Amino acid sequence: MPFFAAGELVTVSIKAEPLFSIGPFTFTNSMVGALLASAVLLLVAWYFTRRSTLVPSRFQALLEFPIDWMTSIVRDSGGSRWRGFVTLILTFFLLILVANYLGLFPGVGTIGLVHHAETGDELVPFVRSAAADLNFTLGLAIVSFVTFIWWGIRVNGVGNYLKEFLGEPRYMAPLMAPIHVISELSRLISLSMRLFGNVFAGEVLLATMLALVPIAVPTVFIGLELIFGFVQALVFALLAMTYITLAIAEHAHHDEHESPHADLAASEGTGHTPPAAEAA
Amino acid sequence: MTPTDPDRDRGPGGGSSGPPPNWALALDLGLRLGISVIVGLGLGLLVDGWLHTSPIFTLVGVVLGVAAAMYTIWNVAQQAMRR
Repeated sequence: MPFFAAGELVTVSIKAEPLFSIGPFTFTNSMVGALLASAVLLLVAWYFTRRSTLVPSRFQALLEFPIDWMTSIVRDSGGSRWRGFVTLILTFFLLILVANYLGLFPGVGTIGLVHHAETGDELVPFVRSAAADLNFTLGLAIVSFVTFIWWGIRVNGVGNYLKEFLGEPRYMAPLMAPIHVISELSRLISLSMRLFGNVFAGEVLLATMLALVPIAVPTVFIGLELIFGFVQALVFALLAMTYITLAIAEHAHHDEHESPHADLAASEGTGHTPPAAEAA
Repeated sequence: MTPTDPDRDRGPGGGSSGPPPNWALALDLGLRLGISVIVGLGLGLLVDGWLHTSPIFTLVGVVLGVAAAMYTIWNVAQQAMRR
């Protein structure tokens, strides 16, 4: 198959295209995108830990800015336990941001191998924007989902978590349990679908513009994608943080009604520890 | 599991512990309403396909999906009012 790079061949498949297989493991072009984004972050982290100085250079200040900015958001909005999940939120933000911006680099999605299909020639790019693959976004959403459930259980204990999940009064449990399951699942799906939908739509828009007017016009849309890429990374990270904060706050609030220390709990906001935990 | 509390720290400067941003929740709400109904419908179809009871669980699933959507609105509104 010849190497090829051309606007008219660029199509964006909803499914990530397989590049090669190692045993039962198939390697897709979106995996290459995700690995490249991870490699970029690792390189930056390596530079940051080896070369950083107390008085930052301009380059160091540029690298520190998104980390400082996101950390301050989590610190101000994430409740008193923010230190426990700030690294996860930062990872979400930086990984999605870098993956989205990598998708805008020249050659990403436009350079690959020409595949001769029955419907005509199709370009299979070597690299595809990672978030334009539902597997990637669903993976991130599952990590976020497990984390906020884990925080709910960690703050309140398994028994109290299940008690709240089944609802009050107890005879309503057969109705409330499936409603809670659907409500929780909708969080997982909305997190993954929003990111995938926005990034995939951006890829389709760029491919369409590249095919219609290959010169100058796509630049405008690439500029827009720079904004969308940042906004989507921020929205995913903030929603993950909000879910974790609410999982902690919901249980804290639940305890306020049951605990004789309600005033103390209210004064501490989300930082309330159940009496059982304090005794332990 | 014993609940532990190692992370109760307001950080350097005693950073304020404000609420999560409302706009993120508002942005999420619209999508979650639709998805709740779709998840309910999907689960209903799945159970019906498994037990061959169509359309009983499909209808139950849709009703539960709509209820879950309403519950989501109620939950978000409650969180907002609590602040």
